[in-house]
Amino acid sequence: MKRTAKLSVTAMLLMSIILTACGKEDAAENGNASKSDVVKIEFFQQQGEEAIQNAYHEIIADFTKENPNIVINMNTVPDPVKVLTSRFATNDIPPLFTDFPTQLQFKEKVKNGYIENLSDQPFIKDVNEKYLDMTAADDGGYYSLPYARNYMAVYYNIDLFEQNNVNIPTTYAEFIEACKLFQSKGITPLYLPLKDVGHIFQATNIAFAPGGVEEMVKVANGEGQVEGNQVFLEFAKKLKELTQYANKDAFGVSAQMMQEAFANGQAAMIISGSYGRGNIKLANPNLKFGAFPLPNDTVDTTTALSGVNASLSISAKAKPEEKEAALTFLKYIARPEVAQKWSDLSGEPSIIKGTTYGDQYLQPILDFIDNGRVHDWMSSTLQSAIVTELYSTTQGYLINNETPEQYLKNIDETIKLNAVK
Amino acid sequence: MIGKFLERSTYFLFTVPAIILYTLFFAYAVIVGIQYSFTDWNGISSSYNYVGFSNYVELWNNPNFRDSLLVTGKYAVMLVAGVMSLSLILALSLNSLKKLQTFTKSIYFVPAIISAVTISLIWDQIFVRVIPPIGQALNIMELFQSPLAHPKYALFAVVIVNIWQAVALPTLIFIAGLQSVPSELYEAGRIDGASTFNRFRYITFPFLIPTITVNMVLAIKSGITSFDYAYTLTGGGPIKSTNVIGIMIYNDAFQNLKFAMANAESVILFIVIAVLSFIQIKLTRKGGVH
Amino acid sequence: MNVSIRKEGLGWRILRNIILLIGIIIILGPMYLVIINSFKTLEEAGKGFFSFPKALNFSNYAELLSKGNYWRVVWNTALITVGSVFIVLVINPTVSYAIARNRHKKYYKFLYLYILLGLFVPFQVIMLPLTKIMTNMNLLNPFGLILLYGALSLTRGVFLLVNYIEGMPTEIEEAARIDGCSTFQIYYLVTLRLIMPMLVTLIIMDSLWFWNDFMLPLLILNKAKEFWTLPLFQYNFKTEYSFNYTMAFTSYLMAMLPIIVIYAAGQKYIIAGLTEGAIKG
Repeated sequence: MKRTAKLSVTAMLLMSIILTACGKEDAAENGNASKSDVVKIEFFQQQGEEAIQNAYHEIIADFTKENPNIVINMNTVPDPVKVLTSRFATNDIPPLFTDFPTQLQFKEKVKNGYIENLSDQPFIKDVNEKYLDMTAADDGGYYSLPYARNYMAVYYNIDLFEQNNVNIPTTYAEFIEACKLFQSKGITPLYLPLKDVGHIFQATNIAFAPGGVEEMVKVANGEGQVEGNQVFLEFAKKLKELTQYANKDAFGVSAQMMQEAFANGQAAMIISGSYGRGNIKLANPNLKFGAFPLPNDTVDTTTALSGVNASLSISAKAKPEEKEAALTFLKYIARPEVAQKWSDLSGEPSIIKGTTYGDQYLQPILDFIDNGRVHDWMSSTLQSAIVTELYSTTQGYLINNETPEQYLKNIDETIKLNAVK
Repeated sequence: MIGKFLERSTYFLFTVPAIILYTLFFAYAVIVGIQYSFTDWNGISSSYNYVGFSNYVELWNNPNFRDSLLVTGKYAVMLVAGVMSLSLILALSLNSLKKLQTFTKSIYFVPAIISAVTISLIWDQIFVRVIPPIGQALNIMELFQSPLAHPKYALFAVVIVNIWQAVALPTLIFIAGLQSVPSELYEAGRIDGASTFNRFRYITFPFLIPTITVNMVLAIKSGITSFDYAYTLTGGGPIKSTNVIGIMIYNDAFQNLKFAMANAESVILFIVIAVLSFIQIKLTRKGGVH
Repeated sequence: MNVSIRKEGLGWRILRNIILLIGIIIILGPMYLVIINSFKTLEEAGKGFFSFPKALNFSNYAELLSKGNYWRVVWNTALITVGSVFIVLVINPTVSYAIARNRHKKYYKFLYLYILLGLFVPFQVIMLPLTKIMTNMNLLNPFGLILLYGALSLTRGVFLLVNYIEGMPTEIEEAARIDGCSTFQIYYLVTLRLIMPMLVTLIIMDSLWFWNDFMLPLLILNKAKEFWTLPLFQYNFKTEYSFNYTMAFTSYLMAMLPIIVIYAAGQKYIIAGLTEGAIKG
């Protein structure tokens, strides 16, 4: 009997240790009741890149100095898009979070009343209108503070261009000419990451098939097809032509390996998202590189892919004091001088009025985007399931060396199959 | 009387914590999961409707789902074949080792202690940085790039990584099975002049059948529900050649706004596993020494 | 007791040694690459991926330790593993013992089937409902995860333990009962000791699962970095350091290190524990 008693006492002790240990942590995380004047909120931040995380950390530290009664805990997890979906699904919405307001997923969240309407907030007027318009919800309201923009462009190695006397191509013909020149000199013209074909597909489709996304939306709605569409056929041929000038192992290369190779001077050009800049800089701080839009046949038809990057939103389900604290933070972060600091630290182009971009070599692409033709990412008009399925279709086209005609047929099929009515 | 009552209540009390935890965190979740498979819930909307079996009907007509089932089937077959044959060979080899047996066994168990995520990341690096130089040196076209990039070889490459880890535990279980064979039988076999193969076939094998059952059930289940390796190594590509059902469910649930559909997919998976395990247990019951 | 084939032929011995040697190379090769490259700078690794580092360069390690909350993460992983194993130890043998000794009764028969059915349920079925339940109960923290692991450990635990207990002789138990021991005393003094080999096997298998699991910690512990376990830490490095692969190798090594140290210290017991439990299991 003695042993029994001993065992149960030990068991209870162990249990209570675990309980108290974890209970404490719990209180530390969620406890805004402990001190009534301090509000702690979680900030679910989706971008894992080191520079972006650091930039937010700095801004939050500054903010805390000004608002000692608000504690902002930034939380960045692996696979953030899916984790955030699961948190909406389980009604455990972070009070403050970043999300992609142009995407249909976000609009679905708005429709269900999960997200606070920010239309009447003064800081909304501080956002570049071109981008603000992209984020309008179906009811015309604004449910997030768009903070940065992104784009897909051709990054080029300035030194390699100068050494070989190559000018920035402004038409597709010039682009191919440049590729040929580099190839003849034994330099890989274009480093393609076809393992991550997705964004290459988006960038080339928007560049080479103006109006193409709208055509695909029609297919999804059961009206029409892209098969036999001349513009689409052009796009398919050009996309394949590009692979002729690419690295031999393109199909095994991920976007990050592409950034690494470009940083080490292994290729003259890459088609990259603006998000690649930070990694390239980290891998080789001395590389001089600029950017230009992927050119179409003429200067007039050249269109760049550009959209709103992760933007800040507030949960409509949060407690009033949490909402208040989150709003205070948004007001702070929307100030031009704060946005400027964030942009300088993160390397992301801000869209708060009154900021300038710190990178002189990349400024031209931003000027083009401000003044030229721009198209948003596909998933703001096409369901994201369709978009990701199209990535596989495109991979099949390139790997299996299908004909352009077959590719277009497959695009139609993929869209019809995955469209949710 | 009191003793009897105490005894019975002790047994009952023994089951209480398990029942509470299991019901709350497992059985209830399963029922809710099955229930969702009959709705049209997209995962984030605040309300949903019951739609009967329409998710299942739609899956039946969905070529993507069929392809994914096929990929999963191939994956499971390769995994089970690889794990079973390798672990049996290794167990026989290790068990007959006289010097350094414990040490060698310890090395062979190392892969089992490392997380799937870490293993996948390590092998990804090996595929990318080791294979292409070898391919170029030997001038084998297929190996110019990571096997993960090739729709023909990607699934095979993922399975190899999975096998690399999954062989360890069954090997130990087989060794345990081998050690349960009475040594007199071998002596008798040898005196009767039985060949090595015949000794294995008629003496060792029957004793191994229970361990084969255990290893098979576990290997089949892990093959059919596999997720980690393909997800980390390829994400399902290229051209969906490694899009196992686990990945499809995960993407549909959390990315494609098809939560109810994802649940229907996993219910089907449940049925497949249950049927296979049942057949397998029935088959192996017939022979073997217990 | 090692009852292998004794006078095996020379051919078999050579073949066997070749097989084992190749196996060891395949297992230790990747480990070797991880270790040597974790000490190189990116530049050095670019020149020779297979070569031994010229000098031990600890800068990757220094950066990793200064960056993340590595020790916190190790502590969390250990706490969750130990806590879950404790629950496993409390609930698995008790319920298995009750079932094994009362299989003829309806309640226990049902219970056995009820728990065994869980063996067939793929994790994906319960993934989201589970997260929802945990949210509603305010259990999105290490304590909740521990309870969850306890519950999920039951299917395999009961499957293995019930078989094992049923295969055990009941004489000692009966003798103890005649001596006036209560059921609990019999369980605690006799049964628990007899099932130790299987229990050790189970604990090792479960510990490895708890230690290395990725999906559940991602779903349950995503509220704050302070909760993270090693696999989450590891996966996160994939996004943060993917371009810097020697750094990535360092992170692999650091993620493996604690469990390898524990394994190295206890490998004899672990291997023996696993084989002994499996003999009758």
